[in-house]
Amino acid sequence: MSGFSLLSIGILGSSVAAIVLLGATKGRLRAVLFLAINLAVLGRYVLGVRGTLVAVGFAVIGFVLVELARRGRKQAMTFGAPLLIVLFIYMQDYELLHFVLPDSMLTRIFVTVGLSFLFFKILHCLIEAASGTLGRFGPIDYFNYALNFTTFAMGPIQRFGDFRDQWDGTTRAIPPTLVAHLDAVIRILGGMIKAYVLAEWVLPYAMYPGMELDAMSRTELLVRVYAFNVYLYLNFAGYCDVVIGIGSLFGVRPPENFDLPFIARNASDFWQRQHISLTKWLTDYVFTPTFRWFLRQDSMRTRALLSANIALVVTMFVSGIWHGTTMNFLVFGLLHGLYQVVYRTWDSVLQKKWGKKKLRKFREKWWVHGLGIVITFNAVSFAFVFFQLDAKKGFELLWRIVS
Amino acid sequence: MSRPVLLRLLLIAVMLFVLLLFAKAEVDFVYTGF
Repeated sequence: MSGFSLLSIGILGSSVAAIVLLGATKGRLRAVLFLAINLAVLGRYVLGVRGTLVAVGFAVIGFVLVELARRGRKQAMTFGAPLLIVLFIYMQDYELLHFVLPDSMLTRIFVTVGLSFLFFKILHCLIEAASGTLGRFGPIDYFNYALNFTTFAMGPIQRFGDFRDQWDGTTRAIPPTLVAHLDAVIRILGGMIKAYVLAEWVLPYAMYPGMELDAMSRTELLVRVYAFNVYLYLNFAGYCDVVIGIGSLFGVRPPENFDLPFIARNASDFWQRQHISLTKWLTDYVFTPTFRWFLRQDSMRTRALLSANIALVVTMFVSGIWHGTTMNFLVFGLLHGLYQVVYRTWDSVLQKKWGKKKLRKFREKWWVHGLGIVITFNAVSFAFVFFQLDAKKGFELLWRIVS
Repeated sequence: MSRPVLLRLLLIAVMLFVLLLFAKAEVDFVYTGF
């Protein structure tokens, strides 16, 4: 999978170099040094030379489109955004393409770690540039934002304005105190313990792609499904803790990405706590525009719940196919879409029946809260089956558990 | 040295010890593998 280690001397040394060099320099030299560090880390430790060339090439195409959009060229958005999407799907070699294109036209030469995160960062810049809300923008800032070695491989998905404002000192990554810096070190070490110790302890009990379903009891399957959910959290949140800590020390703190997802009490609450930067991106650029578009249609104007539900399914569909290139990720997304629709409809029905006050009181009851957490944890764990197994095997596993 | 700083240094020492004892050299990051 990843092929790089946050514990390697190379990445740790590069992080220390970034903290020291970026702390000791100013202005253009500081920006050029950061770009050099980003390219060196990506090229040497994360992507290799080929992957880095692919990433830089994709970022250059993005830069041209963003620059055109900033200069008021409407085509940059109308043609540029679809072009980026098609290019991304082609470069990632989506399974769907194998049904529509001949094998001779397909290649995996552009498949690169982190391309999906880079894609969303570029698309964000393009949309904001076309809307005139991107703000100050320069080539070195853009490439440092796009290729930032801390967030390149797995996010969190930072916004350009947040990156730029911290980079140029408009806002502070952390307070300039010894305690705040020690807290950042604790964040790094805590993340390493999550990803390199705790997650690895859980991993042997988690489901894996080649497992024999028939050889396992229902209880074992259930434990493996739950364990994978916990493993995924420790693995991903651990990584995020490390890069948030490193970024804090050199002056550009990535956004928070997790907030105790295991205590989420419903499907909507879950996505406010899990992969938060992705949720915010999808809310801004998929859910809200889709929801508003539906509300503008004559036939939907008075159907806010239906509009919201359709927008939620569309959003989760996009989330699913963004996560991975194969059919199982589509199932993952649609399952989460279904969860969202069920929750929102249930919530709306109860609100109409009882009114807001009574519904709030009902929600506050300890057993309703607890039941919500149990149901959400189970639903989310079942959806994560499609992170590990292909669609057919995933459904087989779920059927084995419930039948 | 103030008490908050000392406590944090102690915690860092404990965490480093845990990492030295139990950390695996390499792990696969799930989100890079799809």
